[in-house]
Amino acid sequence: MTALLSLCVCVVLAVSVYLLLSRELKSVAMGAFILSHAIHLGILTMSGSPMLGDGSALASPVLSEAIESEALADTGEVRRSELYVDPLPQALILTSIVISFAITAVVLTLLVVTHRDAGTLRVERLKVSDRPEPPGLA
Amino acid sequence: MMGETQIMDSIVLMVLLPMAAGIIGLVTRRTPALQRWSVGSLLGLCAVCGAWLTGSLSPNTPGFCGEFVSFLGNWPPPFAIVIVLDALSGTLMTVTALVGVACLIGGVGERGDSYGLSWLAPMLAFLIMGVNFSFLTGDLFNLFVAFEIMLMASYALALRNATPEGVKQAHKYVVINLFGSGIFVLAAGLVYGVTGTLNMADLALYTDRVAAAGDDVPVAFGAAGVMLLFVFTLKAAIFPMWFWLPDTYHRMPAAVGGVFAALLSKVGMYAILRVIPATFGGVDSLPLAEILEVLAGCTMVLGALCALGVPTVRRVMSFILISHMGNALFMISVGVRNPELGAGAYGAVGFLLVQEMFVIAGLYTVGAACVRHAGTDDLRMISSLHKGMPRLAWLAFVLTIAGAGLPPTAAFVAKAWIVQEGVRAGSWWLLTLMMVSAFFMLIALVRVWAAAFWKLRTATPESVSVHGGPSGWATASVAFLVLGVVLTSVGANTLHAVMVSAGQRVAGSGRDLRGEYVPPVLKPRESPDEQGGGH
Repeated sequence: MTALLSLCVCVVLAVSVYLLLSRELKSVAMGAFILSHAIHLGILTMSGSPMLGDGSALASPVLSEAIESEALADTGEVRRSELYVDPLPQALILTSIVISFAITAVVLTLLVVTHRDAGTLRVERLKVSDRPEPPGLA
Repeated sequence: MMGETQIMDSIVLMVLLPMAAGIIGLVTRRTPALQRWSVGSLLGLCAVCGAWLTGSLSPNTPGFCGEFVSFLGNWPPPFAIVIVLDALSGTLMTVTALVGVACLIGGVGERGDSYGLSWLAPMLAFLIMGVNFSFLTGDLFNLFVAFEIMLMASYALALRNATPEGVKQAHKYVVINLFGSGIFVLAAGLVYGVTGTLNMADLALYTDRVAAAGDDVPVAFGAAGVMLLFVFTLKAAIFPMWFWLPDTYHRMPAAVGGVFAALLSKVGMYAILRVIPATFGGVDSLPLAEILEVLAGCTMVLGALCALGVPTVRRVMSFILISHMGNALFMISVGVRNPELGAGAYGAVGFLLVQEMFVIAGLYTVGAACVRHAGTDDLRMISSLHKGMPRLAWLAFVLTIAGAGLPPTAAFVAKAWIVQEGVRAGSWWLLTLMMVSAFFMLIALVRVWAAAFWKLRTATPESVSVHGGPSGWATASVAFLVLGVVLTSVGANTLHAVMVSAGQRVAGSGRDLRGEYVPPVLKPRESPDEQGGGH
């Protein structure tokens, strides 16, 4: 499962970098959005797999008497980090999603404004009018 | 000598006051006078609050070594999100609020948007909220959140009243920062995946814990260190990652360019100072000292050389800023290579950052005033501006001296301190580079002042359209910043004492003089299993 997720992260990251390097601002923005997905997936991967070696899974991170007493009966001790899934990476991802959502809105607005002003989103055409006034050093 | 850690929940005021200022600024945006007064006074209150908190860290012990801590939600460390105010962050937050007030003064004459609404004050307040939160937080992920708050406000500030040119430039700024933030989250996730904690003080103990257990530090941890270094150097505009800064900052609307230059790069440098040496200094697979030394040397020299070569006032200032950042990184590399010298070196970084905030904000505002007065700040087209704005010319002279690090100013103390620590560490190569870069910076700054203000008007009169005198408010803003420069210079002795202890505190969270860690804000770690799982 972790290997599969890592592969997914690699592919999505590669796509986003490819888009980020493009010369059209819309694609660059798309690359930035996909980058955030790759990163959220990456955090999920790094938080470890919820699947245990014997095919069973960790419990969802809500304290449960039943699970703990069962573990106590099985192994004689309660190690909660080995019973429940770690909820913190998901909290990190949630926070990060909200932030990237807001930034997506900013970037899209910027695209609209740029297109309205310049009539194009191609970097090389935007650049022509961007020369500083006097020639020479700049 | 280490001071003690005290619980002081009122340090959260340093974030709450700018937030309140921002909200009030949004509500009152139809009445600009009321808005400016309320936001300005709240930011002033924030500065007073910061100075008071910093001053009361430990009034009885000379050297202010204590720190104030607040555990949000009252969870025990390392599970709580902690906020920490020590001498370094307290001083930086005070100066941040003051620079914000100066920007607000400079923006008084500015027109609103097409509906007559004024956005400068609230967005500035939110920017300062983000900056203060970055200085205050003791949690890596919250540092990311603070960066994002700061960046969102900075996008708004950069795009407010932006010309079509400005909008185009903003793309670069936004996408670069978006990429940086992405890498930051990824690194934070990686750090959490490896260590199981995001508390900075706890992270500083991680390499020792691993060594004590007889294991090797995972390679992924070093990789996370490189990623974090990438993000922070991007923010601080260090050598390979500086390319975006001169292109964007000099096109910012007049009032905010100074704030961006003064605050955002300092936040990046502060993050390097807090996180990198303490946490990743002991990772064997990561040649941190070598990396930092190369980056610092390149940044100092190339920054100063570029400052000589670029034609507009604000571009020159961008590269002066970059070269200053290189000096700060030089000191951090000294501290990483020689942990026993860390306290002095990190103190020098703090001193450099604090006094430079006033200077660079002032220099940018001068550049913006040139644009306003002469229509451009291109050095080949402006001259003898002292006739049109004599007061600003003298203020700019003081700032030039301070920016070049000449004797009567605190900048000279900073330079002298850096040289002292460099000699003590015996890093002669970097010292030589720093001296050379200081010389180039001096030439570049004097050239700017001489060309813009002093040189008599010779040719190309038709290219310069004089738009009338400078706005009195711009002069007032620069005067306010010069007052800050003067105060830091007069009070250099006090500031030095504060920064010596701040350096001890920063070094204490990493490898200590005695070879042991004195992490700020970490009570004895309890076993995670007794804390109700998770973390």
